Amino acid sequence: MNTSLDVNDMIQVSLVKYSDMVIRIAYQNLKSMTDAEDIAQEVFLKLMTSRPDFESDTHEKAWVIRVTVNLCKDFLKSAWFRKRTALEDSIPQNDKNNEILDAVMRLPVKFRNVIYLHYYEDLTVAQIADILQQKENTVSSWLYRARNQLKKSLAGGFDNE
Amino acid sequence: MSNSNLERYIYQIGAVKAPEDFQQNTVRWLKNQPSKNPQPPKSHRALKFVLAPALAVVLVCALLFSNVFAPVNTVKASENLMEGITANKIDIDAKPSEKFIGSAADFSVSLFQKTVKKGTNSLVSPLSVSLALGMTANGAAGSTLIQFQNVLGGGLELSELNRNYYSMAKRLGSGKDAKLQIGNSIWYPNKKLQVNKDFLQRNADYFNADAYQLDFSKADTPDKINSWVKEHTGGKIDKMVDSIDPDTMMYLINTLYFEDDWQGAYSDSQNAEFYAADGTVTAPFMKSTEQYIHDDKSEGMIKSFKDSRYAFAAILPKEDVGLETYVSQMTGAGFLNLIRSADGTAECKLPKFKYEYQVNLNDPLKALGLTNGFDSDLADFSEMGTTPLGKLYITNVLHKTFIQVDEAGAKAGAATEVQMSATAMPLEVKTIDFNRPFIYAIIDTETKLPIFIGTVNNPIK
Repeated sequence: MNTSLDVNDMIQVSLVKYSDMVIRIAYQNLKSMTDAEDIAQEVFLKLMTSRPDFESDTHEKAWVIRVTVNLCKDFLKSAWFRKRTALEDSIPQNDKNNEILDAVMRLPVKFRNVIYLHYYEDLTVAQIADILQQKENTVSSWLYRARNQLKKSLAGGFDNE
Repeated sequence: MSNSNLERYIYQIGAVKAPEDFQQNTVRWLKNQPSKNPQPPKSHRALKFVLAPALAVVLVCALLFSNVFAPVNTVKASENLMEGITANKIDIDAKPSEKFIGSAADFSVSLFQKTVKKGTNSLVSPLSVSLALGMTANGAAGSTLIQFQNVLGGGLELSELNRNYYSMAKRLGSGKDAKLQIGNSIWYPNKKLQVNKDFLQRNADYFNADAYQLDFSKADTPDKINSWVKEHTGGKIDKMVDSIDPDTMMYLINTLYFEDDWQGAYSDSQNAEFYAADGTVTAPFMKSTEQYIHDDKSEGMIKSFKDSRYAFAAILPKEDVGLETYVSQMTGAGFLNLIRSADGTAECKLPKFKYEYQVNLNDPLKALGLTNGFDSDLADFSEMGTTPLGKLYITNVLHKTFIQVDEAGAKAGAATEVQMSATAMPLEVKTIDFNRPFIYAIIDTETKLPIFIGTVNNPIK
């Protein structure tokens, strides 16, 4: 968008634009704010070093989401993480104020991501499929199953569709 | 509401945010990474301009209940700039989105927190501030724009913000009997500034803004601006601009005027004691039965206006919490939840009050993260227009409000009890006596967002 910006400016603009979103996605994936911050920094490092040429803001945002999700996936696979999670398996029971978020956080990771991207970021199934490099049918089915599970854990379910 | 879990999810995940120092820490961390990429030192932009063109954002609000106001004679600025620009019809019937409402609630509460002055009565209109800044945002670019998007809409794109503001203003202020009048205008000098047509077009489309091109050096120009303000505030605020600084390149003005009768008017008032921070005073109190709201730190009431689109909410922090602590702990989601908590009724005693409030919003807005727009080096208002004098930046955001709360139409007084008994049959009688500092708001009953929010520390000051 701003070709004249130098690297520093570009990173600062991206930080302002995407910090919250990246933290949200990483937190929902990793259930830990400290880990989320680490991953988020990696995302911005990647953005700074690879400096992809984005056609549009949508394209840029999709890139940031994809990289965040992938870095989280790698992190969850890492031996270090698996060893540690055995100890603190589930997220602490939060106060009642976060009851819905807690229910979402208990879903499998891929369901959490589609719930967030669809409902919070207002992305369509097709856009999500493109970002996560999955088939549209797969994303639809994840959304469907995620909603079904939420229906079981939350009175009143989740959807108004 | 069938989708309330979804709404709550949006609030709860929206509340997860990068820590305040995250951006700074990341910049520092990135600089320490083995450099795969040369990092040139940040170059200093061109020389500072001696004569910096300034942008003044002026917000004016008047709020007054039940006052028959006389038509005001105004000098109409003849140089209406919107000539040749017709507002495009925008087809938005949808309610403002949940995400927008959540972000707007956060902005409203943060702005309120930053503008409350200890021990005095205060009043801001988050809606008015949002609309004026929204107009301004349409002239911003680069990181200046991003800051507007973050502060106003939690990162929502400008196009989304425009649509939501449009929808909100339209739903609040449409119809000839509308109790809320919203006025937006843009003023700029005739020669020095080349204004972008797109900027004016978007402001015409989404903000229904008037634009006037005037000679800022003429002595009667402030009068013209002041007349416009007076006309749009029911005559309650008659002076916003004293004289025009030669650096000033533009005024963006929003006015908001609200006037309505209570649905159940008060029949009279009786003197009683109010325990103000600086001592006990005697003030007239009005008594009625109203909808009861509460959370763990406060209780309060909601009272409807004749136009049920609007309601008055008064919030009394528990005695052991106190006003200042309560305000400092408020959140957008907490405010919405409190307003949504209406349950049963309570007998309430509310003091009458009336005051004017003025605040410069520069520092509060900077504290909320809107910094670049005020910085003559960093500001980027290239979408607004160009001037040979240099870069545009904001010098002042002024906000003036006025409120008057009273029995409002005593002639309809008998209706009170009847209206309440139709909706509620209280088993136990709760009572709330607003006889110590409290918070109040005029809310939009559809979104529950505060159109105005303020504190009463002393009702007779």
